[in-house]
Amino acid sequence: MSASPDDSPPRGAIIVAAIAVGLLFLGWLAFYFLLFLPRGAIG
Amino acid sequence: MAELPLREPEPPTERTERRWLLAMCLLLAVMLAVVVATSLAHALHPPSNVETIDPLSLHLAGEFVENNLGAAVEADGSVTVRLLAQQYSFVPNCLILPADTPIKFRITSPDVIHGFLLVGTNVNTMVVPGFVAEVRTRFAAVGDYTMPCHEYCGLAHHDMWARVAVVPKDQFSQLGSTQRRRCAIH
Repeated sequence: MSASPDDSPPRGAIIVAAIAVGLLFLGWLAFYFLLFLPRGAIG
Repeated sequence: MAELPLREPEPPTERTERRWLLAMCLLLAVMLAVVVATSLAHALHPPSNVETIDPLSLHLAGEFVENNLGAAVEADGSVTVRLLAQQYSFVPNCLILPADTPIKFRITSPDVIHGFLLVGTNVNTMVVPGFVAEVRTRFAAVGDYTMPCHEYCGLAHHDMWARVAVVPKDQFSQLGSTQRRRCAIH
């Protein structure tokens, strides 16, 4: 029995989603450590 | 004895979705861990102070009478700043504060809601009539900071701002209480 197209994971979509999420995560880290924390502690 | 129905093999797409879900959960866990760890290490938390005051009589007696406003040095070396936010100015509208010193701002309003923000820092809170807002911070660097009202408070809201000059500790200690309100000497 031959494999149908649904049997293989959507590799292109995974790569695009992983890059998008990775960039967002790096942006969050940059904002947090390079912008938020250097502005000083509050309490 | 009845035969159990055979379980169909899991499609690869479902396995991929489960892995993706796991990866996203791990990412959220890392972000949460970073926030919790840095908050504990730097003692960060949102300003929270529930303290009431009568906005009609605060100018007559108590800590917010005019001659008690501004920066006061406490016995432990920290500085307490008492401010009034009113339409359309901060009183005093100019402060000189020391760098690298624990600073506690205590602010209240006799009229409407105002905002208290020091541009370039994380100091940011609302000033609600009837309550005393309290924010603690420490200025790492010498410099000038503007302090605009960031809650619309009326027609001249745009003109409501003050200035904070942060000077070295030793320079601050040489100033008298009235001199700490004169930014021109800086």
